[in-house]
Amino acid sequence: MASLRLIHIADAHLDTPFYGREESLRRRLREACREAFKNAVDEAIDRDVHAVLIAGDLFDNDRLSFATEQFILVEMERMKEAGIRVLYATGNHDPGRANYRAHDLAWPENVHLFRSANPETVPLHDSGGQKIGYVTGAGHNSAKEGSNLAALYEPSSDELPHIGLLHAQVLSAAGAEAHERYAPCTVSDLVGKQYNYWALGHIHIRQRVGDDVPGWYAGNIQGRNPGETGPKGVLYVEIDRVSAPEPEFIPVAPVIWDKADVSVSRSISQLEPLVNRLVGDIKAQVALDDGLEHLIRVDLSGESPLAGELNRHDNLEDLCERVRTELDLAWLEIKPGALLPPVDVEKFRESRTVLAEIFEIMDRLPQDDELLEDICPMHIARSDVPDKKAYLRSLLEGLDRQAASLLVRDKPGTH
Amino acid sequence: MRIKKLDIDAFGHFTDRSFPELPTGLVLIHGENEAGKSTLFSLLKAMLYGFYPVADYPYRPWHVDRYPEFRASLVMDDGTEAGIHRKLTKMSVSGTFRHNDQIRELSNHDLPVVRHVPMELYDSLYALTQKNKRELEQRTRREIDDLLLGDLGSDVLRPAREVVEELESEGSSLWRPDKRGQPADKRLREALREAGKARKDAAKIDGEIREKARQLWALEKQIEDGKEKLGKINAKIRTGEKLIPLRRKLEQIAEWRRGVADMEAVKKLPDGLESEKKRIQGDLADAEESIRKLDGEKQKLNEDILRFSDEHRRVLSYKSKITNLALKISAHEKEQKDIEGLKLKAEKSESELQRLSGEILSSDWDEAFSDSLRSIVLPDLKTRIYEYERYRREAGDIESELKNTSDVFMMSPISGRVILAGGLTGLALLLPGLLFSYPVLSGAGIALCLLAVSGLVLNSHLRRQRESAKEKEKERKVKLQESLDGVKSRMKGTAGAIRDNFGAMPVAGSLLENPDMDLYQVVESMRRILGEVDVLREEAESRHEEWKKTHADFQALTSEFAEEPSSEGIGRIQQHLGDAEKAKDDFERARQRTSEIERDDYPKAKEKYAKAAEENEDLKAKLSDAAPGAPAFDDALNEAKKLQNTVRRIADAEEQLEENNPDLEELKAEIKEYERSEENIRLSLEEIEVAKIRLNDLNEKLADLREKRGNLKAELEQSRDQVSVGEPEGEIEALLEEQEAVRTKRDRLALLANILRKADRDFRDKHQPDVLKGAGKYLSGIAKKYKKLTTINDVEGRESLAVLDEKGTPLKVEFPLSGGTLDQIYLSFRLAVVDHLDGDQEHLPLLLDETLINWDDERMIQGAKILLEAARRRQIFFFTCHGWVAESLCKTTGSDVVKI
Repeated sequence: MASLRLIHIADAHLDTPFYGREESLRRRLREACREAFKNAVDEAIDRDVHAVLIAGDLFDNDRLSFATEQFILVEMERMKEAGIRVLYATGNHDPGRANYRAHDLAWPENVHLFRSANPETVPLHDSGGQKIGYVTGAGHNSAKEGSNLAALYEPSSDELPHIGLLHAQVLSAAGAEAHERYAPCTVSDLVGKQYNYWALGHIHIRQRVGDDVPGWYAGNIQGRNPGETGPKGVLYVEIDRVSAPEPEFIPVAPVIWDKADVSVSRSISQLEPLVNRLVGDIKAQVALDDGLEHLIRVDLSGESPLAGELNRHDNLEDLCERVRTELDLAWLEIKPGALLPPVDVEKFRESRTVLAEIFEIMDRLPQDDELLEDICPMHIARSDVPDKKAYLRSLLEGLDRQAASLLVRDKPGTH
Repeated sequence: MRIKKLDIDAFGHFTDRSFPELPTGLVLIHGENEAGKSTLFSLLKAMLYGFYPVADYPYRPWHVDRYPEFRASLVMDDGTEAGIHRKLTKMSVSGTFRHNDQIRELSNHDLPVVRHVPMELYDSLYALTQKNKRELEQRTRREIDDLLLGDLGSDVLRPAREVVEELESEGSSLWRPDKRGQPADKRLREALREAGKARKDAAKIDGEIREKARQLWALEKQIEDGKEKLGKINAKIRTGEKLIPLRRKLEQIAEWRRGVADMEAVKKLPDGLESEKKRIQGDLADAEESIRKLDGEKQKLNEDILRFSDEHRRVLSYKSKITNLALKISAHEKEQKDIEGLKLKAEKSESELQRLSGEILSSDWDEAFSDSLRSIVLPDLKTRIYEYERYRREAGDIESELKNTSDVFMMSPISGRVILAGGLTGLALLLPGLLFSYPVLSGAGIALCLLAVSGLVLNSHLRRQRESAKEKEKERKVKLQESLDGVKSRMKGTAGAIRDNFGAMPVAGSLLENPDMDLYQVVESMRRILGEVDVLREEAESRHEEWKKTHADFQALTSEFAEEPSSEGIGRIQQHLGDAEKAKDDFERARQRTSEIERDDYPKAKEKYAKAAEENEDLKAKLSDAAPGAPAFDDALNEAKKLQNTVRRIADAEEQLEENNPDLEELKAEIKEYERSEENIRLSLEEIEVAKIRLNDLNEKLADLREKRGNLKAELEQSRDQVSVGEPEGEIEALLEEQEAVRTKRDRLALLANILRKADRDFRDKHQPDVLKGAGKYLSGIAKKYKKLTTINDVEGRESLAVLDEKGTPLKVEFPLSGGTLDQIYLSFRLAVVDHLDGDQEHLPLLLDETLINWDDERMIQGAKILLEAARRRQIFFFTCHGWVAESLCKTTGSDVVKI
């Protein structure tokens, strides 16, 4: 019997309100999400798959724009014309309850929506009308589905390939802690169903959830923020009852988020060497020649006389612009938070100087509420913080070094 | 801590320099400018803290093969001894510290006993130079206060108060509790408001777009319904428009059918009635004409038969002879002319023969000579004439030889007189030559004598030869005469033989006496011409006999027709023969043709006529069936033609209908069905026109709807570029994050400012009293009228350094206090600060450079004493380039001066 060919898509998050001050960047990222989804559909058509499985969070929230709705429907129509079934299980971002978009959209007839917490099983047929497999799916009815949906799935009882489709948090999966605990389940919940493939969504890191279960998170199709680095895409899988599935990752994201760590030494005290270091290290850490657009966040670390300078927004912007231009990047963000001024704090700790006095106060502040009260600013800008003391104490991190960098004169031979 | 001994391997420009016994209290060092005071201070600093900066260390020795290295022996404050060694090579830094029997590896670290004073602080506070003083004088009062009271005179750190102001300023640029200025937070709040408004607008636009989409869908439905209705009406109209002409055609055909009484009878009529009628009548006329022509032809043929006569038959009986002789008549007449030509040619040759005979014969040519001429053997005659000519040439030659025998040439002998004269001349020359020894003369004489002797010998020989030749000549003449006689005899015999050849021909005697080849040539020509005459005469005779026989035949034939045996007569006889042959041919052909007419042509013509007459009757009958009412043939014919056209139109129309409408039967059924359908349109043009008007109305409505739909679609298309709700939300998220970062940063700065403020206050509280007390003590030792140092606050609450005079009045440490007083205050302050910084830790060496230079004598002495007092607690290195200062201090303190 021929294999069942599928494309597994998850967490497209179309219409994500992207982070960023630059309108052009936000718009580009929104377009990139659509491009990624369109690329996925192209792949499905090119590979003549029997079905496309969408494991939830197709769009980011119920404020889905009209244009994106139309885009989704056009893509579904394209798959319909290509004879591809679409099986779509709703997630926490696109719940299936009445009056929500996933429910209300006029889906073409090739789309089957799993929007209820009660699992249902749908047969799949080939172009000749012969039954070639089953897909069991359940959807998030609300935005806060807390029950274990996987546990409700019926075990497979047929000789044809059987696929489970679900938006859920497998608790042991990598990166699970970064996501809300919706439809939580364990690997053993999945193992017991004897399915040939689990198409999962929710966690954005592409992974197999366990050695004992053929369950995969496809990851999201387009990185949405600086934390979601590297190529993103969909899984293509051929399934039969005999051999274990071996999903093939197909990158579809046109825009790649990357992260680079650049350590700066004390010897770099001018802008030009710093630019060169950044350019060199970014080139070494990020493959820029893949023809895709790269958005890069750089974390600066180490000690540099430039730490104080880079604390200024305009200086940092200048630096960013220089490096961005040099590398011809669409976007670059440099985080100098871990870059410290080259001050030997310990040297002053025992001295009879006002700096030693500062250190002593800072040492006492974590425990001394009275002292904290004493030095607390009359007006706190972050009036929204629930615990003022905890907040103030959180501000002490690295403050000793900042104090030293401000107080110690920058004289030759003093460092 | 005090340095007791210092050994410098290399350091700056010091090389292998040793200070074996340094004073442990006040060390007075005297040296010129650039002698190495700064170098020495840097060395002390390196001793305590290490080499900084290692890279490009400024005190590397001038000699390239040496490295900074020194050793020192120390006495610690507790009296224990210690040793230190440091070295900075190109690749490494090493150092050891020996104290209390322990050796510690220092590498490039500071000594364990100096860690209470950071290097930067030591650098700033433990060296007091004129430069410090100048820099201090350039500062503002407030800076001096900050420096002395806030930082105890150290400029390692920036004044806390200055940093606090910066922090507060930066904090205010980020966030302010009030509404003043344009802090970043305020701008962010405004941006957030804008983004919020954009979000609201975007949501509103999105709502509007959705409303438009709903309108669009409703329009689409209306358009679809309208299109369906339109389609139905359109279809009905199209069907109607198609069926109406069809129905009309069908009705027309039915009408035509009604006008034809008997369709089958009309169909039986031949096509082209008029032409058929003409054809039949033409056939009748043709047949009658054929019979008439045959009669005429037959009559003419009969005439030809009667014209062939008996005379024609007699002439035809001589046909072969006439034909044969007609062929020969031309050759016969030509042969007669040729024979006459031969005879004429023979006569000409005979004339030539006569002319030639005249050249050799002594009489005219006679026929009787012909046989003699024919009997001459020409080769024999030719041989004889050759022989006779040879004999004649031999006789001539012998006669000529005989004639020439007496003219034989012989060489004559040399004259004896000449020989003698020569011999005598030779002797005449020889003798004088010999006598007078003239070799030329004697040579010439000898030569002449020899020539004379030779002449004599030659003459003798020539004479003998001459005699012998004369004898031989005589003998030869006799022989020649004999030969001549013989030859002449043979000539005579040969001439006789030649004469015999001519027989009876009277050849001229002269020619026979001396015959030659000319004679032979003539004879030969005559023989040839005679032969030709013989041949010509013989041939002419022979051909004439033959001619006569043929001529008899011609005469026999021509006499039958009374004609001459000539070409003309024969020609006329041939003409008679031609006429007879033609008459015979005409006769025979006429007989044959007459037979054919009787056998074939007459019956055919009659049959054709009968057929045409029958067809004519048949046509009349058919016309009568198709148009029974017609009174006459032509009327019936015209009526039949009309009926035929009608039937043809019906057939054409039906054929066309079937061709254009393969589904004709279905269409006919459709025509019946159309009237019964639910659409209220009858199958008539009027009804169709009404339906079209309804269709136009509907189309206009649809066009309106489509226009509305187009506008909506365009609006929706434009809305694709509208900012979606997500975009301002993304900006809001970023703005909120930025706002949080800005506020957090501001709080952090505010917190740090407060910490600095408190630390500054605490530091002053903690250290000022001790430092001011110590400094006052030092000061009173130098200047008796000043008892104490203290601080005072101005109206703004700012703290300033002050000194109390004898009356306890506080005076700000500034002008109008004298420069010297201020120097004393600063020295006191500095001594108190280092005492305070060292506290109960190791007292580090102090460096003073030209410190007392502007002091008056008394105060210098007091100052020196104070230094001496201070040197009880620590080692003080006092540098001066002035000898008198060194000498004065030496005298006052009792310390030795170290010269560098």
